[in-house]
Amino acid sequence: MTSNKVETLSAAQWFKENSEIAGFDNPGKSTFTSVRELVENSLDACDEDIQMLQMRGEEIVYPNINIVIQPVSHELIRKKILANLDDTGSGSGLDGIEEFETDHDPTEKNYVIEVEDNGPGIHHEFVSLVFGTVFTGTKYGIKQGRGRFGMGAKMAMIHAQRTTGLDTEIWSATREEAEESYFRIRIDLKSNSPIYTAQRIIPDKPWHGLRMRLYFGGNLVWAKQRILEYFRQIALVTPYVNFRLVIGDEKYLFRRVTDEIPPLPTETKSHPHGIDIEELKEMVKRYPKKYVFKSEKKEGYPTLAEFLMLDFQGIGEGTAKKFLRYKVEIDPNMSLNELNDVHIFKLSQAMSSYEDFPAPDSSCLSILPHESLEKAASFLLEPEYINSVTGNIISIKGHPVHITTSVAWGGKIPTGVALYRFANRIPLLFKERSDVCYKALEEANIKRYIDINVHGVTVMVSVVSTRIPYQDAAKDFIADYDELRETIKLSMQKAFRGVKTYISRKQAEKKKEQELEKLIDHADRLATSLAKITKGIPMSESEINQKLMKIIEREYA
Amino acid sequence: MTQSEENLKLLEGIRQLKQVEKEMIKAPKDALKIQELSLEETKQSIEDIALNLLSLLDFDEKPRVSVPIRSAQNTIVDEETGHIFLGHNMVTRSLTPSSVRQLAVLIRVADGIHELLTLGRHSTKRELFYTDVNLFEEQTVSDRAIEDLAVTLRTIRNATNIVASAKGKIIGRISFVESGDLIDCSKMGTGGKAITPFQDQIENIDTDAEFVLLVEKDAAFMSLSEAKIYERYPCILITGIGQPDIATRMMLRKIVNETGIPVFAIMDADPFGLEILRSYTFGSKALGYETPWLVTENMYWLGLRPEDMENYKIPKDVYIPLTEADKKKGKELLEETWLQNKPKWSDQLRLMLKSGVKAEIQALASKGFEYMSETYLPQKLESADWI
Repeated sequence: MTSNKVETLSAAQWFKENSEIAGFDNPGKSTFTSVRELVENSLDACDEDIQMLQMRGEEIVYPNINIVIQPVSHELIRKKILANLDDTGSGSGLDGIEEFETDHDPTEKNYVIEVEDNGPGIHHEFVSLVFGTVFTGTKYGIKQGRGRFGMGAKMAMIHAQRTTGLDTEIWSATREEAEESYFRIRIDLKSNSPIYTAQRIIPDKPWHGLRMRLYFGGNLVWAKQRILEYFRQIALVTPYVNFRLVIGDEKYLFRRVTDEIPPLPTETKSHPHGIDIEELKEMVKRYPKKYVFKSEKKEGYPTLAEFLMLDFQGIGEGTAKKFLRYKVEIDPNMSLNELNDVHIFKLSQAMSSYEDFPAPDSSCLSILPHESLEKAASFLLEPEYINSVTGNIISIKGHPVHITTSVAWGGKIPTGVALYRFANRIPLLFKERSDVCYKALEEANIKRYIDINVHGVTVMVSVVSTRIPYQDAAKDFIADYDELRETIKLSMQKAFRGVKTYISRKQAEKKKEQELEKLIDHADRLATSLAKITKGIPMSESEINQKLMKIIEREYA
Repeated sequence: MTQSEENLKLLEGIRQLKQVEKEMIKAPKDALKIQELSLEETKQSIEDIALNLLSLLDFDEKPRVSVPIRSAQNTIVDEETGHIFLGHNMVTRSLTPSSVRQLAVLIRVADGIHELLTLGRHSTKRELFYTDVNLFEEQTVSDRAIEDLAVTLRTIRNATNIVASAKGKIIGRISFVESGDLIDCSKMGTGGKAITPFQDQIENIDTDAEFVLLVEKDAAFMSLSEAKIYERYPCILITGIGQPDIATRMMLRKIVNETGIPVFAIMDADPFGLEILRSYTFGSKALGYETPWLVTENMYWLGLRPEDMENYKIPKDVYIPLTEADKKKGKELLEETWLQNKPKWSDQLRLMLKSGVKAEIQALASKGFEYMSETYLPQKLESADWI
């Protein structure tokens, strides 16, 4: 088998064959997916910006993300195509969405979406790197991320290109420079590389961030409620962001409710349980003949033990040697260079089944503090009470999986149970019944704890991991691993118990109050009657009353 | 006249049932001791309860009163006679969340009754309820408290000067003086005379009746009084209209005690009819403490007995199937001592349970509107068909 015989799949073909996985299988879903991909792209950029500012010790810029979705007419698309033909670099083009609003026809199935953030922006030299090819990105370490394919926005661009034929427009500005870059860009689906159809730099426009505009075919009627639900839910798990959303002539604001920024994800080395043979081969291949290990210069390849210590998390010398000698039954001092495919096979098998490695490191995860979630939920859902259970970490295939369950109860929550699922702080809106969270909720048997017919409950489950264990590549729902389901179920039950405790405490307090009221009220009547029967001798009514109150205070207050 | 000859013959049989004046029923030793108190004594007892509460208060203790429980769980049955009495089980009303309301209600009722006794007046249960509607909320609450108070004072309700509004009716060959007025019950039209709740105001009973006809329901009472049954037979007609009140039971007892004449009861042929018969004869559980003042012993069950349905060929379409509640009630009654002391009565109940059907007195109307007064009753009396 030689590599030159393998045909490279073109981006167009890949997209066509995998549109369902990518979330572009029908016009409605495509509309929804386009919105979420651009939004998540912006969120990732803003998070990275915050991380960088924090590292530099500079003041944080809280993210503002503005989203506009408007129907556009065929006529406008036609005009736009013509304008684009004329504009090859220095023309003015159409600017601003407002112009479209006057001539849209509601029966049209074409839309323009514009998403703008106040992130770091992209220097125009790097735009091609970012929006260049569909399949890019070589990851050495692992890191928690929102992105579903490491190419979310690019999929939306391709979809736009395929439906309206129009290029993507990008405006970008960085903090460092007082100018704005404008690009019109399309992806060459055959060569899988970017084509700039227009680009220019506009001086003296000081701002920072990125604005993307796509024209695409879709169905907003289907997507609208899902888009709104998406923002309602994402606002819960990114409460430090302002989202301004315009859909047609409706405006929505999801206001930032906290100053607190969760610790952002950091990159970490892989855990030995999470590596397959191909990945292992890649890792081995990266080593040159000379390398630096613990500040000692050494000639030649590292030993096998050194390789494990360098490339995997939580492996020290002792663990490495013990594992290699007794589990793999290979000499720990064997040079990496001498490893053949049989060795790698043995190593890989042993790595995935050895149970004495430390659990995956979860410190690299970005976990929204439950206080922030509760604050956001109080603001957005207006419940009477929220209880959270957090800190449950399990590992699935070498990846740490962190679970937080928050249960909001009463107040303005409608009766019944609603389940909100979050994976790496992104709401999952589809295929709820297949999700492990749904199954856990069924098993948790909420009715044992809370009467949902009297007060409503919203159960929010946030699953955070360096690799969310989705069922399939569409990533609509999390797979039903026994350990995961059990852990989520237990955390739900713990949260339900908390709510139950709150309800019974409240009822007990109310009952106590009522009892006290009842005692005082009846003591009053008792005093009147007793004084009347005894004609005030030996005690007057008020004396009797005082005595009764004294006893009530002593015994019940 | 042949008819009066027959009547004479029949009366001979009834006269044999006459019982000489008996002493008041004695409560068994383990029953709660109840006595009739005078107005002054009752007033004093109420003051004693109040002073006792105040003295507890003086020691900074919760005021509390022990009230005898008036329900089946505190019922004592005289093993020999089957009469029903109250035992010594008490419930404490005190300054606690669970009982303060009942304490306040009890003392409020005591207050009202104390006032009434001071004025030397009577009052109905309804009037007492209206003295503090806010507290009582429902009349059943104050009604119960009146009886609770009476039994707490170890006396009968009549001693509290609280009476129920008149419920029972009487008509027939009897006259008496009520509150100074001479009442002749043979001249009461068809509606009869209401049995006054103020039983202590009844005196000078005069009657030539040979028996009392006690009917469960108003409908049967009306039908028999319209037929002027007391002109044909020397009798007194009484109804308590369902479960009898204290006054009706006292009136019946008074008549029977003074004359010794027997009582013939006409009840529905169902477990509830039998239970009413028990109230007249052996006492009720809620008022067990008053049994010696209320029960009438010289009682015979005339009809409508389960066996009559066959014997008098009552058409089957007026039979009513026993409900589950009827069956349960019937089985419970069979366990009770008084019924075991009346084997002929319990045989009837067994027959009813076995047949699975019951019937109301009105079922007799299926054989004609005058069937009861013209055929059924004469036949019963003439054939001495009572048990």
